[in-house]
This record gives sequence, structure tokens and C-alpha cells, in this order.
Amino acid sequence: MKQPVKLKINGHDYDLELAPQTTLLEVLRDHLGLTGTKEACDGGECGACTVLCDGGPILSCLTLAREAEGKAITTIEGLAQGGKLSPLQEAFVTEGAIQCGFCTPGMVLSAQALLSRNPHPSKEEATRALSGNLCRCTGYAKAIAAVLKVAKNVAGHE
Amino acid sequence: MNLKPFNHFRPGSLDELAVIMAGTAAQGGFVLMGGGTDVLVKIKQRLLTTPNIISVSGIRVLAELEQQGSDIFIGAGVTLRHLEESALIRDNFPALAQAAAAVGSPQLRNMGTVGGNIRLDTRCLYFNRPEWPGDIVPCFKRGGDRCHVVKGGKRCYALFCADTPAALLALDARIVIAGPAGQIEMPLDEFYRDDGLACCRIEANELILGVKLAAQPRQESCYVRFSGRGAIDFPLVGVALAVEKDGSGVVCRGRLAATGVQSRPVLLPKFEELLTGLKHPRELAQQKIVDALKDIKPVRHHGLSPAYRRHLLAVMAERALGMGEGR
Repeated sequence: MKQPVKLKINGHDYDLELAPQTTLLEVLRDHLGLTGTKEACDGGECGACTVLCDGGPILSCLTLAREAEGKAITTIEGLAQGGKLSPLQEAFVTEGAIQCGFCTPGMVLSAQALLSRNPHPSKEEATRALSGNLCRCTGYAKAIAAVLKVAKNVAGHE
Repeated sequence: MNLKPFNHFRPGSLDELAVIMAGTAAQGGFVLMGGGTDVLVKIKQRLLTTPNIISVSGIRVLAELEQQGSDIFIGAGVTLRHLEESALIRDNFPALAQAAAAVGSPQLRNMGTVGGNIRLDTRCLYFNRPEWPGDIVPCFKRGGDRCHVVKGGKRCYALFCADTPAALLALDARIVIAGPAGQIEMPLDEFYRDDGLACCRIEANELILGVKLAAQPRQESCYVRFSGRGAIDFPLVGVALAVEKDGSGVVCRGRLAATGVQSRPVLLPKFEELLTGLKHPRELAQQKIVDALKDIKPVRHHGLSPAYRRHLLAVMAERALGMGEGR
């Protein structure tokens, strides 16, 4: 039986009617059309469905939508502001950190979670923060370079 | 794979939880869910069916991590990320912080809880697959009458593979359980049994509230593990060490515990005697380590021969005794 669920996604409030077993991933992609969040393994292994929940990375395929009530959810669509890419997204582009692009939204969000808590991560910290995002093109080096580039630019402004 | 329909409850207090547990017990039963990283995967893989999921994520008291007198209480709902980052845990119980940090990926640690890791179901290549091969007779864990890992085995030999319980055992943790008769507290070692079907001694109407650890001055600890791939895999073997030293820096008590070798996490009692009196655990000779592990008899699991897993256990024990050097 469907039940009312209130979600806050990318700063917008949504009133939805959902079956209890609906996952956050299904809501994002199938109900709200936010298809930047990807479905791949659907079992908590690949990180393609990563979104931010109160700033921390979670797997939307293993999160029931009702469990996200009262939390602030950020998807890849929520990073760009006013049509302008975020510094991290910009760095992914300029560093060429995108190959097929399927893992990129999850990877960017994992990196964003790191940078929000730790604006100056070491290479090891960046690598560890992205360890839950699998890239089948094996494009890890440039993604880590993009994270470190943002960290360096932040340092340059201080 | 879509989740099959179930009812979802999210109580905000222990009292409310007790009412829902009692009500749903009479309506086909229930499954308690913390972070959902294990329960929802099993439901998706059709390894678990339940008409009722009760999420404990809304119960604040379960998410507490605090000093209580000389004890540190870790609520069952504390996330593994919280454990990994807590200064209280890192300073007093590095083995536990390291074990929490070793679990899965940052996303899984941000969702998964201590209670979920303690109760993590045992795993087996025959069981943990979406579809059972039609030409193989079901095993104990699939509701059948045999074990395919140990031919002729009279019980399920599925492996216990969670990281934090090994650290908690070495650190002498006590587990706090709430049930209809009130709260009980017992050494974590007594909570487990070597049975792949039911490795935890807990009734359906009981709930893990958390674990208690006593902070010891001059205690050192560490956790090391070996796994195929860091962020995805469960440990093939994990070993935790905790030693207490006297005023002159000599070990007066040492405990070594392992995961990934039996259907429960195990304390390795022979090390307690071997470690006592040493200035540093790494002084323990390699042959003594191998001899002290002879009682542990792993079975062929997840593609590893018993001999190789025993070898891994000895190597991890040696690294733990070296406080993680060579990790």
C-alpha cells in the first residue's frame, strides 16, 4: 500500500506516494527523472548510485526512500549552480577524468563528500574516498588528479 | 533487482519498537534493519523474505557513543564511519577503529552499523548467490539437509566474515541485549556459537542495544586483515590483538581473536599464555604462532584451501603481533 513520503532533494521538497519497498534510487530515476544517479550492480558493490545524505555518501540502491525522510539528499544534478559546473565537476572535465561517464556521478559525489569535510586531502585520502566507486574503464588516476586539483586551487585562494 | 513488497516500520523509541515487534511477530514475523546494507541485499537476492521490516535507524539511544563511568558504550546503531572517526575509539581502542575502517567502502561504512556488523550473517559461496543451481540439492542454509562444503557435515559451515567482532573480542567487549525480561549483559565471546545457521545467541524478540568496552591504561591494540579487494570484499582472514602492559612495559594480558576462519569470530586462547611476560608481542617466535593456531581447522571455503587459509591466519597473526607492521 502506498504511503505519503516527504523528501528533500537538491534543496527541493517533494511530496510523494510510495510503496514501502521503494528505494531512493527508484524515486530519483523513475519518479523524479533525476537520471544522473546510475543503477549498475544494485547490490551495494559498485557505487554508481552514490548520492549524498546530509553531506555523507550513501548507496541509493540500498536506501529505502522512507529512510531518507528528514534528510537532505544531494544528487549530481544538485552540484551545478545557475548552469555553472561546480569546481569539482570543472576539474573532472579539465583533467579528462571521464571516459564512458557511467561511474562519474557517483565518483564526483564521493569526492564532494571528501572535499566538504577535508578541503586539503592527501592523495591517499582521495584514493580512499573514491575506493567505493568502481570504474570499469579503470579511469581512477585522473579522477584522483581532479580531486587534488580542486584541493590545490582551494589552497591557492587562501 | 526490485525488492519484493513488505511493510516498513520506523519506530522513534525503544518502547515503540517493542510494541511493533510484538505486533508483527504475530503477523508473519519481522526482520530488524540498521543501515540496510546486508538485509536489503539479501532481500534483493531472494535470500531473505519477510512481510515486515523494522528499521531501528530512528531510535536515537541506539546511535549513542559515550563514556559511561569506566566503560565506553557503543550503541548498536552507531555507524562504522562514526567508529572509524571517533577520537574516543581511535585513542582507546585502535583495533576497533581499524576494523571499522576496513569494512567495505566509504558509502557502506556511512550506512552500516555496529549492531549490523556484530549480527552479520555467515557467508558461503553456495548460499550467497541469487539463484540456487537447480541440479544441486539445497543445503542447510537453503532449508535443506546437507552441507556441500563439508561432505557429510552435520551442520552448516558457512563462514563468519565481519571485521569488528574480532576486534571487539580481543578488546574484551560485553554485549548488551534488551528483551521482554529486561536487559542482559554478557561477554561477546558467549554471544557467538560455531553454527553457520545461527551464529548469534539472540532470540527473535530480543535486540542488541550495544557493546561496552572498558578503557584500560597501557593497552595497545590493532587489527589486520587480508582480502581480495579492499573496498568490496569481506576479509578472507582478519586478526585483532589487544595487550595490556604493566608499569614496567611487560605484557600482563594479551588476547588475539580472528574472523573468517569459522562460523563465528574466535578467540585464540593459547596466545594469552604465550604473550604474558613479553616486552613486545612481536618477540613471539614464528613457530610458536603456527603451533598455537593448530586447533583452528578452517574448511575449504570461497575458493581457499584449508592449508592456505591457515597460512593466511598465521601471517595475519604475525602482523597483528607486530602491531600492524608490514600490513
